[in-house]
Amino acid sequence: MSASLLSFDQMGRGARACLVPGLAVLVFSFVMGALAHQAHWSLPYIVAFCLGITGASVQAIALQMWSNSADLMPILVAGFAVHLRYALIAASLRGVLAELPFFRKAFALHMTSDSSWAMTIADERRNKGTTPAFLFGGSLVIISAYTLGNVGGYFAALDMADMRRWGLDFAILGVFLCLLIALWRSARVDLLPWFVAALVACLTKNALSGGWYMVAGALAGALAAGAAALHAGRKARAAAAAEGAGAVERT
Amino acid sequence: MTNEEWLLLAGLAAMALCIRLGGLYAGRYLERHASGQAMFNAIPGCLLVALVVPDLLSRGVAGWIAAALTAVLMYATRNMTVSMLGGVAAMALLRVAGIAA
Repeated sequence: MSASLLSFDQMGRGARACLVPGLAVLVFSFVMGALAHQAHWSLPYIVAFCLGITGASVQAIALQMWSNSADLMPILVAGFAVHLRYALIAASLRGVLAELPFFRKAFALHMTSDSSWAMTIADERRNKGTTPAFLFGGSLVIISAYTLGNVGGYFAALDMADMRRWGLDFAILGVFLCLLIALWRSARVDLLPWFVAALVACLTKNALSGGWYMVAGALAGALAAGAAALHAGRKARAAAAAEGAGAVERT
Repeated sequence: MTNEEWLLLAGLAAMALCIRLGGLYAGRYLERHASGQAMFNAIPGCLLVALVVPDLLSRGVAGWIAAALTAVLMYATRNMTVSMLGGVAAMALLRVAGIAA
């Protein structure tokens, strides 16, 4: 049952959870579509890009670099750098996708975007037992919004100045901020890793090109969490050993 | 569109899928240890922090005000729509007021 992507009840829950992020994605991808039009991308190419590579940052890189050079390799490397965080995203979805057969797993992963992933993790933290169909339903909403926004932007010759006037350049960041607050567990667990992640991301942003800084920050934060857990485990074991020794003395 | 441009699209798509599948299967090795589990659980938050903080820092005072308002709204209401739109509205108003570029 949970090995299905098509439980409509669960898909509906995921889709509803992704409506607000979907709205932000719609707005953002509108700009992307307008930019793609300016770069002379054809409509079929834009749609194929949206459905083939579910990552707005890859599109942004391709748009920016393609106009400057005709070499494929640098774009692939830069695309790799901005997309690498999806390795971590996929890793963190292991539990949710565990029971799916390989091809459904691959398909669900292909459809996953930042927002549907984040809403799924938030649901998993809150309710446990989040199903792949929840992720899939949310991903469908986000991909639809992303593709529709791109197509809309392609036809509307909107530029960045209009978006900024309405404050819409804040939409995606706003959604991510909300998600961070939803993901916060406690200062004991999260403060150190989040601080390390922020610090390393900021320090490496100017040193490394592309999106490496996101990966570097996330990995550094995760390593800090691992080290903290190791330290806490050792302290707990030492305390347990001391307790055990005390118990032996008392008997 | 040229053949080369379609080749680029295909290459990027293949790369994206490989990254995702690679991460999924690499995650298996992390899960086995307690500290690996802690790392694993920390990834989502840390990734979002690494995404948000540098972006936020580059936005200047108006961005920080909008972000603070969004955070307070989210903390108080737990409603993402209200909080996100609050931040967007603040950003627009700050631009009207000439505080933001």
